[in-house]
Amino acid sequence: MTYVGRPLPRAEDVRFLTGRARYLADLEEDGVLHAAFARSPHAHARLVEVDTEAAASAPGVVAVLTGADLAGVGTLPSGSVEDGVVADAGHPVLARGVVRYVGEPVALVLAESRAAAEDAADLIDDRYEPLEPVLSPRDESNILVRWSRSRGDVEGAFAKADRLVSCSFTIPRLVAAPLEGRGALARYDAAEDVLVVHCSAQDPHRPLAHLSHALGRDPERIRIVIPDVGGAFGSKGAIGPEVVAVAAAALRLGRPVKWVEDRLENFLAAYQGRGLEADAELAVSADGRLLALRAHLHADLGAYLYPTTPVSGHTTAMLLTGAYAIPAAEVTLVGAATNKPPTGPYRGAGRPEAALVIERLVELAARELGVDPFELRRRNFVPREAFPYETALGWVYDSGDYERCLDRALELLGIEDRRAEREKARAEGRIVGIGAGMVIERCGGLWESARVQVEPGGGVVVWTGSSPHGQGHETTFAQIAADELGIAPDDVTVRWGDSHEVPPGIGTFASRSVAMGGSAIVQACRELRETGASSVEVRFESPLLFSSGAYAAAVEIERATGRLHVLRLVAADDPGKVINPLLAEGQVLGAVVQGLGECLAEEAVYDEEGQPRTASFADYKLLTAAEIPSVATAFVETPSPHNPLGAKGVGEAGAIGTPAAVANAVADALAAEGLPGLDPPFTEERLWQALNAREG
Amino acid sequence: MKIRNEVTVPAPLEQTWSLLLDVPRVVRALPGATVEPDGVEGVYRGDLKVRLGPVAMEYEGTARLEDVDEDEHVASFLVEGRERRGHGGATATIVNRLVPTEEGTRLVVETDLSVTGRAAQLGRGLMEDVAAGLLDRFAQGLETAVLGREEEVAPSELDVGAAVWEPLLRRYGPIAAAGVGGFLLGLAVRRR
Amino acid sequence: MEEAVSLLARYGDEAKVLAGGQSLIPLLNFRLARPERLVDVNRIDELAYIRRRDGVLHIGALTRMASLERSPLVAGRWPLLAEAARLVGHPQIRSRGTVGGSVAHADPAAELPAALAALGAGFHAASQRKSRVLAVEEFFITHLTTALEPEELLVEITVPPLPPRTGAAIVEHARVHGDFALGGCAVVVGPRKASIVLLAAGPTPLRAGAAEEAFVNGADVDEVAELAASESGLSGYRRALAAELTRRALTMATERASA
Repeated sequence: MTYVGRPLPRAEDVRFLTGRARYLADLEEDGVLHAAFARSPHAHARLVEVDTEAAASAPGVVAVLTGADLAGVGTLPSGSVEDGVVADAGHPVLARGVVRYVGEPVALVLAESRAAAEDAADLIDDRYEPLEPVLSPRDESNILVRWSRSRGDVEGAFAKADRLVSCSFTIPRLVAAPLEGRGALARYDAAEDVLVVHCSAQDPHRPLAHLSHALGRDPERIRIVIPDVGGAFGSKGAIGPEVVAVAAAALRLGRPVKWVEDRLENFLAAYQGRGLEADAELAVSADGRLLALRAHLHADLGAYLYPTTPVSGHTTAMLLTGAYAIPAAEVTLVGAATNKPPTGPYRGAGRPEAALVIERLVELAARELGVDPFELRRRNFVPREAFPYETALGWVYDSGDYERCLDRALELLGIEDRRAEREKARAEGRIVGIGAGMVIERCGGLWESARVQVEPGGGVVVWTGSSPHGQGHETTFAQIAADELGIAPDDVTVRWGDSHEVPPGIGTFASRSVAMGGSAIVQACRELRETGASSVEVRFESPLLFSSGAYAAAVEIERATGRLHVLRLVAADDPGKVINPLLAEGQVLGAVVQGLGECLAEEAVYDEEGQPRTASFADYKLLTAAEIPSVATAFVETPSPHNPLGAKGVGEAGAIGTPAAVANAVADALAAEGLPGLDPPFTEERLWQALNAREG
Repeated sequence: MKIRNEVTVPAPLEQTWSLLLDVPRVVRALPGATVEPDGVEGVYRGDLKVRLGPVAMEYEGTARLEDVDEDEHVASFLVEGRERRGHGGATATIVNRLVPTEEGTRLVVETDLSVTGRAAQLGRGLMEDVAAGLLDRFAQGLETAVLGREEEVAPSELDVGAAVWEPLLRRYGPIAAAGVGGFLLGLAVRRR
Repeated sequence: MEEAVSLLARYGDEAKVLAGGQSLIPLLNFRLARPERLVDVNRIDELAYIRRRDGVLHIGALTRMASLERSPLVAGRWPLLAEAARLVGHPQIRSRGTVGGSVAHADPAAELPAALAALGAGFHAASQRKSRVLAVEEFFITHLTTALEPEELLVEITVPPLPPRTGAAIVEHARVHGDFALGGCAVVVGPRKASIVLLAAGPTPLRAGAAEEAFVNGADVDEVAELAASESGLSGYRRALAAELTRRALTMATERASA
């Protein structure tokens, strides 16, 4: 009996669904102090004074700390990007001298209850001299990241091209909106001289490294423990300054300190996703070959660089040639500081932006040449014989079969029927469109470890450096270990999250856990079997892996109200070997829903003074089940040669393919009305304005 | 946010102009308003309690006459307030321009308003209507003051009730009164 | 109830009434509202009822939205109210939120106030000193503001009977299901009579009087809808939405009137 490849239901669901999960907020400590932050109301201002007298003497308050009180604490590490120039802009623990976004923490109140701490935070007398905020990523007065790459004869290609297609894009910021917000519980164990921090995070490794850096504390003297985590989607990869402040307070005051953020704090200060403006052009030959790509990317990085902040822009840049064998490409990336919260990875993390740009350009080129957009794609796909394929921008795609994905997607869509329906609908004066988007998902890479241990009772414990926050690792890793050791998944216990107990690792992000964490487990199990040892620890390394896929959508725009109806959405994903089809489909659907949110309703908005206009769910709209259309999914499995499982990643594809497919479908619908395409979100107001702009 | 209000006062320009420069009288024209000089010439201090149904924001701040152009009859006020409990605030530059007309004097009020904190973040678009109503009330208050119709004894407490709204309803009609917004400014005497 | 009104008389505008809490609690959480006291009326069972007497519908202020939605009496004779209740938020909200609470909160985008306005409802308030009835035009003042005085408790809403050959409909548009409406219209039409009330079109539910008159005088649906949108003072997309939703509501209501 093999378990890999079977749709086993999740083992961890029982505790989650019966309310027995233990999240950060559920953890108790004797003598704990509750933390609340006073936060900047200005997007950009000189911080003149922070008078904490009234707050310090409020009922229940034990201490109030400002940036001056924590002068010895450093900033969080500043992000970096390969082959790029980056400024040093690490996030300070508490603001000193200047504030750079609405919501930036200015002071920390520690009290006997959260309510008392919040009441006291309101009494903090913080005084500011407002300064002009910088809000556009095209404003180059403060550049944090600079990167560029040029390969092949780009200029020559553009000179001799028969057609040029160009487009500009504005991809707004998004709020990750995990169900559980951020939080930390810090306690200093004096007997062991260890700072213990429970943290709602994506893995223990990065919080450990970042805290060590900011506090200037030996990492051996820090222990990170991850409890059950209620979602993250990328927004809990790097810890916020609040965690550093809370840890510093615990060390200083000798009492445990607990911080559980509320939804408003999450909206104001948790790092946000996307935020990119792009100008891109394609050089195309008359016979439909994509000759070269040129793009200028302007990333809205926000006020500071988290270690993860530069990643999305760089990923977008590197993936701009998409699924196509474009021989020449030139991309420049400028990451601008703005007076908004920092940005960072959010489901897709740069890949959705790349897919949107290249897929829109491809369909524009098809329209320009009068060619079927699917034909144009086929003519330019990296052919299945060409792998491993090095793109013009420098990444090596390991394997793939893009034609097969596209075929499958068109089959699921019922392309002929959808085209016939479109004809008929247009004849009736309805506004309908069909569009597609290819997915390239960069995943895996670097390394992970696993330790597998045989228990005296006969069961097996797997210690993994990967850390789940909703992916179902406890189930998939058990399936993998069970197959390798010839036992049942029930006999496998998966342990994760405690830095003192798990082997070292990189972390859970970039859809890497099955390919990397899972492969480490495979190797550890094999070594266990071969050597007969009772415990083996293994480190598994791999180059980058590339999942792929094809998404397609059919949409209708209601003329009178502007409302966008996604009639049908299909996804044909190739994540390499699928370990658990039930969970894999769940990942696709979850990412699709977030991708649809990006298309229909989600957008983090800041006004001309840098004030957030979407600071609650009353204004930042999340889709409900009622808005989700029928979604058909299928898997194609082209194994990766780089790991024993042949697996790649599947967690983010839905968020990459959906916006590209829907954007193209909307553009197709609007083109029939003689109108150009639009940037997301495709809200009813925007669509109505576009349809009615010509009148009056 | 930029807001514009206009009201035509049946009084001559010079009379209207001299009232405009008299900050205490202007403020007192609003229901429930009193002020106290700050000690610094031209600066007045007070509390601003702004209420709309269950929503109540309390600001403490200053109002001062900034620019005076005697030739063009333009007077600007700077009003700055910080939330009494919370980290937000509001700053308004209110430019008042007088133009003589056949019926009397037209008062044009142009306000540049900046709001930070909870009210800005969570207002769900209410802030524009709220501020517009406030400035509308202010323009009408000036009209009342010019015509010498202020009440002798102003209530020292904020009150949003039918008693206040009936005169407005009768005078301006339901649509206009509804457009004025459900505010009352209560600038109370404060010790500092 | 005596205890409730005596508390309100004592604390006046320092107190806020807490019923279902579906509108008030979020304001408290945001710290936008900070009343000194909350008067919790949830256990005043005698204020939760749906009754018909002498043709008039009497709804106790504490009636949960869900009860209104499920009531056979309401579905049979005042289906507009059941239809409006179904548009309010999500089922969870309707299980706690009350009719009186929605009305007293007076959010201009709320469905029930618009439907009640179209039906010509009366609002019954009680305080220690007096009881009184307010008509729709007197009751809604502006955003989140009614004519209720601090010491008054809304106790009942009455709705007159509808004459035969009357049809009604309420239509709204929200970005996502259960969200605040971007626009909406409640319509009641009968022989030589029409009520057209726009929601999310101004500071209160907006009676489109000129549109009503035009309808009664035989103007076609599109013309009436355009008139209603003009009366709202909205422009651009919101105006077009108001016209479209009015058109749909009028069409549905007229069809139902002739059925």
